[in-house]
Amino acid sequence: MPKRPLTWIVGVAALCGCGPLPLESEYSHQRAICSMDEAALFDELVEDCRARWEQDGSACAGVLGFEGSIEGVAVIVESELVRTEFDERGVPGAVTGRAGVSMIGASPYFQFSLSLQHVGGSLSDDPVLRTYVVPGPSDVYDDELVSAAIRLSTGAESNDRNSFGGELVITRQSATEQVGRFRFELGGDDEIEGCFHAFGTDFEYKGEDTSSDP
Amino acid sequence: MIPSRWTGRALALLAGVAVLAPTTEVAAQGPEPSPNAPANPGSSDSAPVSSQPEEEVEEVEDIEDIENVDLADLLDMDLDEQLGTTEAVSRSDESILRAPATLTTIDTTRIRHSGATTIPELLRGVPGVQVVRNAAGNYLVSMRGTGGLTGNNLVVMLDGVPLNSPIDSSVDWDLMGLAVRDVERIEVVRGPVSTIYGADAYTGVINIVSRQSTLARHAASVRGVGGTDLGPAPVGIGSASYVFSGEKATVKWFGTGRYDDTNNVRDGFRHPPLTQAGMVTSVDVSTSERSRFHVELGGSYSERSSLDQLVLESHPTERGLAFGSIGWSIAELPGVLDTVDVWARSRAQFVRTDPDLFTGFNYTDTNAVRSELGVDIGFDFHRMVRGRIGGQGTVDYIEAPYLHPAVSGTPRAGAAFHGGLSIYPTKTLDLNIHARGDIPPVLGRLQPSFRTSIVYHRDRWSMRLAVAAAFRSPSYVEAGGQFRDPATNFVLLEGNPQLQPPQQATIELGSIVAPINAVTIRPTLYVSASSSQVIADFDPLVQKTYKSEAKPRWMTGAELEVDWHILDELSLAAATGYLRFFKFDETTTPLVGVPEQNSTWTAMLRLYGTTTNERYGYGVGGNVASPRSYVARAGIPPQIIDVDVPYTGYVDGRFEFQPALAVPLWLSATGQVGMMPRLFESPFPLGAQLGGLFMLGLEWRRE
Repeated sequence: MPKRPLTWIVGVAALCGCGPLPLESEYSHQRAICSMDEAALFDELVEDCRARWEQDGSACAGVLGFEGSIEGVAVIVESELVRTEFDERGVPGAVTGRAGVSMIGASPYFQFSLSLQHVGGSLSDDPVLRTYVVPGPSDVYDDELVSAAIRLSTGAESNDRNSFGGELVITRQSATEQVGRFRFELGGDDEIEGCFHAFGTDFEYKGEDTSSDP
Repeated sequence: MIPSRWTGRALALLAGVAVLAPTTEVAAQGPEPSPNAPANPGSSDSAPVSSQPEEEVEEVEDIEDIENVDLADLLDMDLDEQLGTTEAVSRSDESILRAPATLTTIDTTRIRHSGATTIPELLRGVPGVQVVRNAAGNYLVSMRGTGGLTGNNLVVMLDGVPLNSPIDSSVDWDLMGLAVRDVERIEVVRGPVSTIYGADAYTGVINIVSRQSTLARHAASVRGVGGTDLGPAPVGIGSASYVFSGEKATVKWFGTGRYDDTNNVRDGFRHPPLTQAGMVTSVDVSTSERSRFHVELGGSYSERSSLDQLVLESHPTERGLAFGSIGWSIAELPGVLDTVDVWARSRAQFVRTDPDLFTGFNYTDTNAVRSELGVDIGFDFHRMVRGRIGGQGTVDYIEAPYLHPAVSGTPRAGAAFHGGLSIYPTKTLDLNIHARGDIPPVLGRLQPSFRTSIVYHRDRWSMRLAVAAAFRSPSYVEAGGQFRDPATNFVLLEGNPQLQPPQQATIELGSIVAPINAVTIRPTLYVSASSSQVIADFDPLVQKTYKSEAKPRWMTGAELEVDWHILDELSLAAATGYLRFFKFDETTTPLVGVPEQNSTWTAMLRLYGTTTNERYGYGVGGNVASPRSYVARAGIPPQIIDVDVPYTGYVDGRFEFQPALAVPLWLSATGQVGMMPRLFESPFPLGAQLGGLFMLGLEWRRE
């Protein structure tokens, strides 16, 4: 028992746990890795992921981040991808282009799956710059259009968004990497903006391309 | 001149009452009062000792006469004497006739001859109180339309010690540690009383008073009761008590144990049975003519169904509660100083279960301790003015895996201070004003509350107008919770530290009328506004949390209680209550704690009594509640629960008799039949089902 128990009690009470609960949402601990200010951070995360992906083809599938508003909630996500699936046109060893990309990652609150289809374009180790418009409900096949879908899930429930508008910019599309930036208008006031650098961990080959893509 | 308090009336009130009450007075020499004090049913059993100026209070008969009062004597008493006094409304001794809030007292006689086997069942007949039984030992009690699925909008005390969970202010009714037959009385104060009891007493307070000291030096009892429901499924209750009443000290011990598997089946699913054991002990010592020292300890353990607003699976869950209080009070101080009370109390709670039984969330590995230290000082400035001030400090220590890591395991402190004035400008008019500032550990900032009242009283009636505002502190779950999916580690539900404290303001008009001494009528009307109610904003998948409602909700209600002492051997109690929400935002997503948005009413009728030689006792009564609906979020991950509770009602009866006058043995028979609701047992269908309970008992009691 302390010699001056009352003083001890008052001291403990004064030192600990006064004031509002010192809590923030888990979103506050996420970093805006796609912002210009965090470009170096993004590069660092990508290189770290690359090192692990090169060692073990599935240890890290890339880095993806976005921020904006979903379901009226301000969200910010910084995620290491757990899986990246490339849908390739052609056959193994004779790939003629990329049909689509699916990237799977997670935030502290949910898992997400971002799917880009009808991407098109050839594969090259050189940087590229292709800008697409995400077509939204019209879903018309065109060189300048891709269709995007995003699924959010917690296991017990899920939220699918597709047929939404926006913009996608691809800056690199090689046999094993896909890099780009996006802005998606998910409907209502929901909008997200982000970037990704994905390393292929799974490959699907669609044989001869039957779409209207070149 | 300081008024003297050492009269026989003081003995009747003070013996056995916890020193925690701020103006508890020191017992004078002489025997302690009987628990069966004034015969007026429904009124306080304490002899009338008023904190109002001495010259207004008449001397009363010796406590023995009050205990044995018959109808003829009752008719000679004035109403103030009949009703007695209470400390539940203002934490200071005051006449029930002049108390500034709605108070219902369930007295010893009514408890003894009731078919209720648990404390919540006793509360069913109180207007404005709603009781729902989910499973054996698992009850939700709420007041005046607030707190339906959470049960955390009122403070429950045992001998003045709050027993609400420090985590979310919920109440484990199976952990009271006291058998129904060892309850002296239950005082139910309705309306905002945070100004007296602090945060969470924002719809009212329920104070359970353990059996008081007796005229006899030693009083003991041992009871065993067993029975079955319609299943059949068994129930067995055992309890024992001992009370020693000496000239300078009172020692009490109560123990109880229960096994209950009755009315536990819903659509083929059987909830876990209740296994419970508990004890309460207290020592009250007069250290001098003017000072008293009091210690009370209690503990209880149970295993029962885990069913809860956030736990929709029903599996065995262990729960434990231990509490202690210590206090020292001194009275008749010189000058304007009247009384000083210094007190400390603490309670600790744990919850354990087998997580492997659950697919969803459960409360296992919960540990919580709340400790409080306080002082209350009473002043007597003048025969027409009395005052009181006080303060307290609180420290919480909570450990739970569903709290944010920055909250779990970190002690948190709070404080409160209060002051009040009571002014008696005339012999028939009382003016009261109380104000309080709380800094609850969860909130961390000052939250005020107040109550002001005018009470006009005459010999046969009184009328009060009271305006009060109270609040509930957001719980640790609402403000600091972080529920993670054990499989994925996703945050399924997150607390919001920016929550506003839900508040309620009420204006109330009430009266106590005794057209004849054998009848008291107590009507009350009130209008309340609830603001900043907590919204369970669980729609967004990307973040489920709590928010505060922007717009207030308005409700109005009426309550009526009638007590009629018909004959020496027969009393009648009747009560009814009505509540209606008349202004609210229908678009707001489900609220936490205010699920009912529609009109509700309850009604109760009870007949009871004891033969003159007390060899036979009986009671029969019933209560009914109107349909009500809840739209609430329940479970983790949260899902909508759309609950429609139909008409529910109960009829119960108890008969006891002493076969041989020379042998202190009583036999009893108890029965309950009712339409019991099924509540939020998703995915089970809802409705009402017939339930029943029939028990035989044996009691040895000696004084």
